[in-house]
Amino acid sequence: MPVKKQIRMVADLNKCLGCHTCTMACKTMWTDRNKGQMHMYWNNVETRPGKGYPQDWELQGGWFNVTDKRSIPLPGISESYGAPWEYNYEEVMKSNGGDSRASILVPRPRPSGNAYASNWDEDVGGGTFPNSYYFYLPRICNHCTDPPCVDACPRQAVYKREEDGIVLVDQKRCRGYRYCVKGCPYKKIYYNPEEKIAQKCIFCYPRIEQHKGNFCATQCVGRIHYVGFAEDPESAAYKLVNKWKVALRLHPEFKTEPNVFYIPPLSPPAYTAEGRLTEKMRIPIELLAKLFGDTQDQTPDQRIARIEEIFGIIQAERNKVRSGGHSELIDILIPHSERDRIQV
Amino acid sequence: MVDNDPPAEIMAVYNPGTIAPDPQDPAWYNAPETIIIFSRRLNEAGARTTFAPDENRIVKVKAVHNGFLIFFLFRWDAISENKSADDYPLFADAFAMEIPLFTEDSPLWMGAMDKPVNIIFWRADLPAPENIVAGGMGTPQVSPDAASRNIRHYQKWDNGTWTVIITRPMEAVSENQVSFVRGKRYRIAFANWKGGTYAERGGHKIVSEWQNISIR
Repeated sequence: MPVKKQIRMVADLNKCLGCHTCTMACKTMWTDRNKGQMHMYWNNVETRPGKGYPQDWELQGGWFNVTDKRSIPLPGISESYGAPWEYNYEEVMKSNGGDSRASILVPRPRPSGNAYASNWDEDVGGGTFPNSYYFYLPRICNHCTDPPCVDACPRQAVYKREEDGIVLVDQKRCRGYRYCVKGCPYKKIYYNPEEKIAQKCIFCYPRIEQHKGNFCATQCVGRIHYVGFAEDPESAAYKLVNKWKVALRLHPEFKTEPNVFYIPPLSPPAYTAEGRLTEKMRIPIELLAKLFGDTQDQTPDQRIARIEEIFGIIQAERNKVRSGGHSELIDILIPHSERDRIQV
Repeated sequence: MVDNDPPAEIMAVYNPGTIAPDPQDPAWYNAPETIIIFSRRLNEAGARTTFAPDENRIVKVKAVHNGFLIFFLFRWDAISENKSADDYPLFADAFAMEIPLFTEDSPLWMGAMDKPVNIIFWRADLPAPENIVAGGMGTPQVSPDAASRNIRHYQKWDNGTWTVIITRPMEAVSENQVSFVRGKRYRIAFANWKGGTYAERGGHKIVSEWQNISIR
């Protein structure tokens, strides 16, 4: 069913400092009370290059590219999402007397074997000194225009809201078949093993209905998010995507038309072996082009050209402001209040 | 393996007095055993049905009642016991029986909107079997009324065989259940899901054709 309006979010990766406040805001708001949700981070922040969360989600495929749908793997909680563990804060912090012998924080249960977690490879990144690099990639459900989780569900338990395009799981219709988990190439739909049903990011729809931003966006320390409707040309999100064309989709080749966009990250210049600065950016543009693009049919070269174009636009607008001029783009990228970023 | 042709005749024999939901209960001695063949397979996440002539999957069925409660005893081969759905890749074994809710000619495939079916669904990881009403593919719904949660069960996997007993009051407690009336004959069909690595669930299952059950 076509939607009347489509919610969109843009994340400016130049401003993401990897603090996980969005993740914790989401966790605290939605997934820290009910059983079976401990391993779920509807919002997560992963380090790139890296394996992401769940581990190697980009390699698992989805409804869009796999003919034998049975061959799509289902990630396991411990080895792919990360078994939830607690630390011995009370002992070490000695808030309740504590244990004088306990001096370091130890996770319990101790991760072992194929241990993993949502930010297991945080800040590992790539490259070699002095040209090592990484950046952060915050991820929520993309509330895709063509959501494969909706297609995958034989019970129509997953649906896309007509009023705002938010993708939701009808918790009463869901029977926990997990076809949606297989279907989503972003692995942003989760399975609650206690309630035996699928659960996912709801784009904080109760807040959106009250014209407030989703919690990951409003709590963001770096103010990296812009939220608005695709049909609202006055919204900052619209201007970044459609007018200034500086925001790209994550893996558009997955053919789902995600509605979360990213401004690709600039990076400091790389050094030569002799220690001289070069013109080259430290994050290889080929790496960015593997992740980001406009449309499903763009070639790798076209993606590289687009990212270079975006960097050029941002640089030119920065220079304009530096020399005393005014730039609408830079005004958007340096928001002063929530109202500058969120128009819902 | 072929179909049950003509359809099998299951007898729910009368056995006055208390019957325990236990395969050792003497009430089962007099109950004839009927072999039901799972002759049709449905494919994953789609309603394409195919005949399943070579899977050799059957269920042995017995039924008894004492005038108040009806008991169904099911036995089928299962190489492994899959009773957990506690992680993404884990699927539990399951079994279901389907009876037209109020019209005799409900379609086998989960009934139709005007010809619904009543399903009792057992899954090895669930605390109790579920009472379900369906009016077509993709519509099965667990009855929301508390009264319909009146199904008890026994389950045991041993040495490659599942033994499951399902028992329920004969009289329906809500419009979401079929009443089993003495002297009446009902159409009944069965479905089976292999959990574990087979990952059968939902429409991905093997089913029988309509059979008959007579309540003596």
